[in-house]
Amino acid sequence: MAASVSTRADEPISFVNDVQPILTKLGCNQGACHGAQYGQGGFKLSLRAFDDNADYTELIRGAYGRRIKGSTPQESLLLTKPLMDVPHGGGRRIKKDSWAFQTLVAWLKQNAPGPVATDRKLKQVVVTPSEAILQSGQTAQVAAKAVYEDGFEEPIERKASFDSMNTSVAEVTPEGLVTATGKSETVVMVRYLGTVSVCRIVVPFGQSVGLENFAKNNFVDELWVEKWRKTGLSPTKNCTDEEFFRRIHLSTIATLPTPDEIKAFLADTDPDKRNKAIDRVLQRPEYMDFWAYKWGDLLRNNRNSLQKKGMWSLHNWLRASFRDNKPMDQFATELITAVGSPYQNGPVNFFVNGYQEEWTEATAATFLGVRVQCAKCHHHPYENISQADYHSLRAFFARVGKKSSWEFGIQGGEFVIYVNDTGEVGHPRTGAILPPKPLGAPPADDPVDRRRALAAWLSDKSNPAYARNLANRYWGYYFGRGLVSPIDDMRVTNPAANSELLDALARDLIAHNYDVKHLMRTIMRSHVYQLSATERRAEGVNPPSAAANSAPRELGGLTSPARQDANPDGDNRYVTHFSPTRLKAEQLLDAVDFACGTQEKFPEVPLGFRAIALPDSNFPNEFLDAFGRPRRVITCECERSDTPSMTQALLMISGGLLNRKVADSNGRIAKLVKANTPDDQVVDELVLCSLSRMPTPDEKQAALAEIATASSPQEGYEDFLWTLLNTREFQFNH
Amino acid sequence: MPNTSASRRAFLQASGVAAGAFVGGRNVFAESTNANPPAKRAIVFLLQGGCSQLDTWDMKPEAPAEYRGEFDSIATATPGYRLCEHMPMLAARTNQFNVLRSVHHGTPSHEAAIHWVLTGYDYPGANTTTKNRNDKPSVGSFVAKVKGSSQPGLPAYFCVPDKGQLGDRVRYADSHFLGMAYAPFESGPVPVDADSPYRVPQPLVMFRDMPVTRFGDRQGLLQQLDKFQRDADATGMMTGMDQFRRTALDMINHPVTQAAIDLSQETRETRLRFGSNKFGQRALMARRLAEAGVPFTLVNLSDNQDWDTHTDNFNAMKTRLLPLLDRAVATLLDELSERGLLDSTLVAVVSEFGRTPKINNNVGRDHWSDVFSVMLTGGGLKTGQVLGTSNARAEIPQDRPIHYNDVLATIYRQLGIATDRVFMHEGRPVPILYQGTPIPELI
Repeated sequence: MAASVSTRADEPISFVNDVQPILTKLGCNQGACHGAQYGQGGFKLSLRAFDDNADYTELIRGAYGRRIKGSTPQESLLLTKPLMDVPHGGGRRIKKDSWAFQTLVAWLKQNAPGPVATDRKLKQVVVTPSEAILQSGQTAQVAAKAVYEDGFEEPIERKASFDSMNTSVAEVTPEGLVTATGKSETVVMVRYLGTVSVCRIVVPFGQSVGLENFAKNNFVDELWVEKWRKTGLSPTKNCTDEEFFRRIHLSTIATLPTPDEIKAFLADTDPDKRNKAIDRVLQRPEYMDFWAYKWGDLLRNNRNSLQKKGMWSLHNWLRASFRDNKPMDQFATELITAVGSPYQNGPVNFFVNGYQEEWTEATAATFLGVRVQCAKCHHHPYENISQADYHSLRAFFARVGKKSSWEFGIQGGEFVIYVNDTGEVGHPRTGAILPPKPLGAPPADDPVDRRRALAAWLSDKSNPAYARNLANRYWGYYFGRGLVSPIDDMRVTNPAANSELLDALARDLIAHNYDVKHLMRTIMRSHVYQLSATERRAEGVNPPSAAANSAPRELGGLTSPARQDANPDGDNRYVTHFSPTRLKAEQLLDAVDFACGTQEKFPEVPLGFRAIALPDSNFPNEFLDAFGRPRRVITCECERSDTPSMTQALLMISGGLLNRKVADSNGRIAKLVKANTPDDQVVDELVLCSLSRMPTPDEKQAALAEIATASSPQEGYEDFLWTLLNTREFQFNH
Repeated sequence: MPNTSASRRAFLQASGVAAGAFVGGRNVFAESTNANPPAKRAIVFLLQGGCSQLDTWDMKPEAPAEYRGEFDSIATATPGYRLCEHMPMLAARTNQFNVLRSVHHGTPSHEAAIHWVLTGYDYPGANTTTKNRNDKPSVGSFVAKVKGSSQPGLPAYFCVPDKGQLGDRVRYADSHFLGMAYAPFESGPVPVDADSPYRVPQPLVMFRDMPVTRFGDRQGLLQQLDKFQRDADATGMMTGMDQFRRTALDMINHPVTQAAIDLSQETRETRLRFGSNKFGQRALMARRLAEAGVPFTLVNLSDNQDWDTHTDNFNAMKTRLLPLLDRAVATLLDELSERGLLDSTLVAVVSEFGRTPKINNNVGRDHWSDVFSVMLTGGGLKTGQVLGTSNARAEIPQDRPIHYNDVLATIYRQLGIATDRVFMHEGRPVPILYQGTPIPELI
């Protein structure tokens, strides 16, 4: 490093713009060290320097003034500790000949000036390049420049902190030199004075093949082809009609197609039959049940917090919204600006749980897919969200109140959500009144109800934030993984697998007035959605060897090299094939009922109410609980567990529910037996109603052999159906 | 499938290759663990409802009558240390365990205290309606995550009788963000006396006692038909499900778990030795699980707030609670030592909290979290120590205050688990314990 202390040697060193970034870069104020809630070793700094005044006081006045020695700067604890001249729990952090050390000495020599009103205000950080395509082992320098509001510019590689978000793809030195270490894509985060910017690093997997022949059904396919070209990946072949038909039914209405529907679709010779099937499935009545259930999860619809009446009211509003295909901007506006009785006006229930902070966090998570919780207490570590941003967003809800009201309810005494005339939000540290302001946008207000201004900002056609979040969510629902993943963690430092596509889907959704069925249709019509799930190899690429290809991969972690070559993108971020997704608890139970020709009865609702139509989780059912039904207490897709468990395995193998349903005296098998159906037709029907396809000759032979040796044909059918329900093929959407 | 016997044989051969989660001698569910820790397993008894410190481990014979209560103290194997007269068997064995009399966590509500005791984490506002699921993983789940199972077909974390507390309304013994894989396996209701039979939990028994041959047929057919490529799934979910399925089939085909929890394999004499009551039979179950090698067993010594003696404290303690606890725990220690298992099995008796030193108007004691007592032994710990004291009326710690998390840190340490190990949850780091250090006098 150059010996010169700063690019402006004759200017005074600024505590805010020079010293603080150095302390951040050295890691002094990180969460594990002095940035912890109570600091370390009696020395506490604000987490990544969000509170300059407090940090300055701590440095100057704390520890009886021993941290700073004006007369003999080099003896200051500020320097002797990180040099390890005296014992330091954090070890050695700095070297004497470093630029950082020289800057700190210079600052001390200038009598350690503190934060002043004339400190330059940062306007933006410019990172170049914004994207680099590297081959494994190659390096590239990321340049970072700070532009201040007064027009001053300076290079900040020595002051900014550089972090790779995935070191198995690329590593970065403290000065911003990037080395590609693996394949795939990641970002290098540049953090300076509370802002984060990124440089995207792409390390191609290899050479794409056959992209020019890939049929492009719509813009989704065009943007994927571009992405595959850049990342050196190749798509696999198209899925079969059977796979397609089952897939669109499970993804869109969580309902298996009937054997007759399947047969008719397979027999149809119309070249446009897939698109027509998509349109039909979007018109099915189960659509509203399934999406009311999906959004019921997200909006935490449950009677424990909303009371039974509130829960039904919200549920009925959700069903009506999806029945009418209500534009999603209107959907969001109705929720965000709801007033009145939660028992009579469904969306009011959005405000029944918690108060301002919960509403702020739920709004950010639900409509923007942003996790703002971090910024409640300190600057968000991976996002440009400050504490002021959090509380400015909270200010939209500052005038929302709850009160009991005699206007509502049979005998009065219900409570209502209403809007006050007054109410402000103060900054928790400075106490300054914060005007309502959406994330990353100028302040916005409304004379009657501040929330209207927030809803107007969300629905503004020039603001893609909400549409991007919707596009990402629905992409995630259809592919099992969002373009941004996790699905509700949208942030600068967590880039989409295909940002151009995410932007295009958002634009398209806005252009179609937030018609979510249009979005779903666009996704389903794409060739990408119709890729095979079972064949991961790109079309045109020969298998490495027949043996390697057929050898089963043993267990997680032990990936076979042959497979890796066949498909290098192990997580399938770039959807070169269709990733099977596990059926959720309610879908699985409904699918079991469908295959067995039975119907689970839930308390309080009439027979015929399917699991996906239930309004909340408070319908006792061991099977649904074991398969990860959420309690609906947090606004996070992660609340629904899809982790496999021992209990699930036992329920499917020895559990009473499955075994009873298979052998139900009014079930599918009982009816087939009663009708004297020949064995081979029974086998066909059982495979059709569970796997949504015809059996292969091998399967048919095995099934018929099993049935022939069983003590009765009925037992044989039961064993066969039990087996089908226990296959991976049944339990996944693929 | 040509015939029944062939398919069953084919299946059993296949299942012998990769039994349960054990592949190539490596347990694929377990994360790394410290090599060769002193304790191989732990049994934790939870006195749910909150046990009075003054009427058990921390007698105050010199205190005024309205504090002291009606019980006398008796001499123990440890000179100068006295226990309650209704705990004679434990009194004769104080040289085999340690008592910590200055433990505190400062949380006097049942829900929050149960959460604290079972996880080491505060859960402000814990309650039975909206906040009735773990806010952090329980100790047993962390143990299961880090150590894994000790043998195929045997879960790593057991709850006896189930994971419910507070009369089944609160379930803070759960795995939270670690996932269902680390949730406890529940023994189900345990016999209430030495003569009642024990019913193995339903899913462990094949539905309606399906004949072994027919079940074998089904498994054979499944092997043949379940051809959907497992590696088509990028998330590893299919692989995970396969592992559980194999373990589940193991549990049914090679019934180690059924055997471990089957109390009918014990003689009547042994069942009587532990006490012909629910506490005794649960302690016996815990001994069987320790023998089988279960790494963590949580035993709830209460069904419905038995220890929550707001009224009639002394009658409840001397008839329904203390004699049963005394026999159950003392016998467990005896039987573990007879089998040479006590050195490798950590045993703890913990309570939600203590009870108010001053007796209330209903001859009861209320919640008191500023000081209470914990019993701890086995698993390589030193023994025979009585650590810490409370003040003259057992109100606050006097010498050597011990935060409850130090007890958990000691348990984790003996099991070879580093408590500063961090797991990510919703983007934030969560250490196994955020505070608490092993108690140096015990290790």
